[in-house]
Amino acid sequence: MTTAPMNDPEAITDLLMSRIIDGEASPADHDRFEHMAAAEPTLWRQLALRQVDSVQLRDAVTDATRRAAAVDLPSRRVIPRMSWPLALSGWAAVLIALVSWGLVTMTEQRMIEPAAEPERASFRFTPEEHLSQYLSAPYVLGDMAPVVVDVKPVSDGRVAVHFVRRIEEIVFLDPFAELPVDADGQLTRDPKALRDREPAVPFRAPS
Amino acid sequence: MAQQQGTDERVIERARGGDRRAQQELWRAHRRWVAAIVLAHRPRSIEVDDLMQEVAVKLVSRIDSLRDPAAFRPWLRQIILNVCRGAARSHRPQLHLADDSRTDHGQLEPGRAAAPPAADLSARETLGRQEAAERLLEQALTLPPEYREPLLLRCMRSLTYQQISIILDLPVTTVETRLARARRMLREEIDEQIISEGCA
Repeated sequence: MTTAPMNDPEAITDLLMSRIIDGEASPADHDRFEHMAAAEPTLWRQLALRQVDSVQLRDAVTDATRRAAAVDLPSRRVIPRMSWPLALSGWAAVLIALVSWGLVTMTEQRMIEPAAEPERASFRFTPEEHLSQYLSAPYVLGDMAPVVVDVKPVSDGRVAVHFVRRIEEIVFLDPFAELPVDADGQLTRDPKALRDREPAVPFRAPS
Repeated sequence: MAQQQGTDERVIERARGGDRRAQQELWRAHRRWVAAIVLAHRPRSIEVDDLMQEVAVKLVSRIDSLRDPAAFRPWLRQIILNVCRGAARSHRPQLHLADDSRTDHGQLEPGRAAAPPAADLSARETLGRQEAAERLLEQALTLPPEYREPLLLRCMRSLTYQQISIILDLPVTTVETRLARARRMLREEIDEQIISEGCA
């Protein structure tokens, strides 16, 4: 085992106690600690307290990571990350395709029905606008950072980026009503099924 | 240890080549300490398993960029730190996931039963121990990162000082010193808390 700093008695005591707690102390470490504790008996109490701390902390960490330590790899295959020039070229291709599509569409629309175009365009939401509309619902508390789960080139030269969006919502249920459960008897995870059970009163945000 | 490292390196080589089984094996062999590091560095309002999933995805998608299989642990730790930093940057502070069985209104969450008022002594003792353990973890999470990280890793019972030193890319002596110091700091925090609660 390694040597303790010889010039700091407090550091030496800490180190010896730590080794004893971890079961890493040598016989010489034990002898040394017992010798120190003979002169300063409160060291035994200190050791006992730190041992209890160590056991409790281990239990708490085990509890806090139990579910996380069972997380498996994603079931879908994840394509290895591409080099950045390839990735950028993919994004550029997507951008060019979108811009080209937009230009062609606008030109065609203008040629076919020039008068109706401005009005129709104002009703065409982008995905972000749709999401923004959804996020403004009173039961939505917010959204979390999207997670990219897959990036892969597709046959036409573009790159498909798969990502998951996570939205936090809230539902208030009547505590005396029967709660919707799934086949396993657990509270359902289907937001719609939960929201259908919401009492028909105007939504009231938590104060 | 050396034998374990050799086995690890062979698995890493296969994982880098896209072998799905090897990737799975590698992840399962290391995910417990990964969870401890996530716990040490995550933003407090984000669940550990959410970040674990992100780390798992990044492990698989970036394993080909690992040049030296012997440096796998510090490489994976760097991924974890980046995921936690990214989560902290993009996290909206107003979002708080409930970690208590009671809501802000004092109502019980669906599916959880209220404890009977005359709960027996052993149940209360268990609850008391759990609460004490949770409070201790809360205290440990307030330690500076360089101390809390080895402390939480050591809570993963199978990790030796040497394995922790490899993960953290630090000499064993430094790991030992930090662990010893972390335990002292933690005990001092608890003592101070007991004194302040006694005064209140």
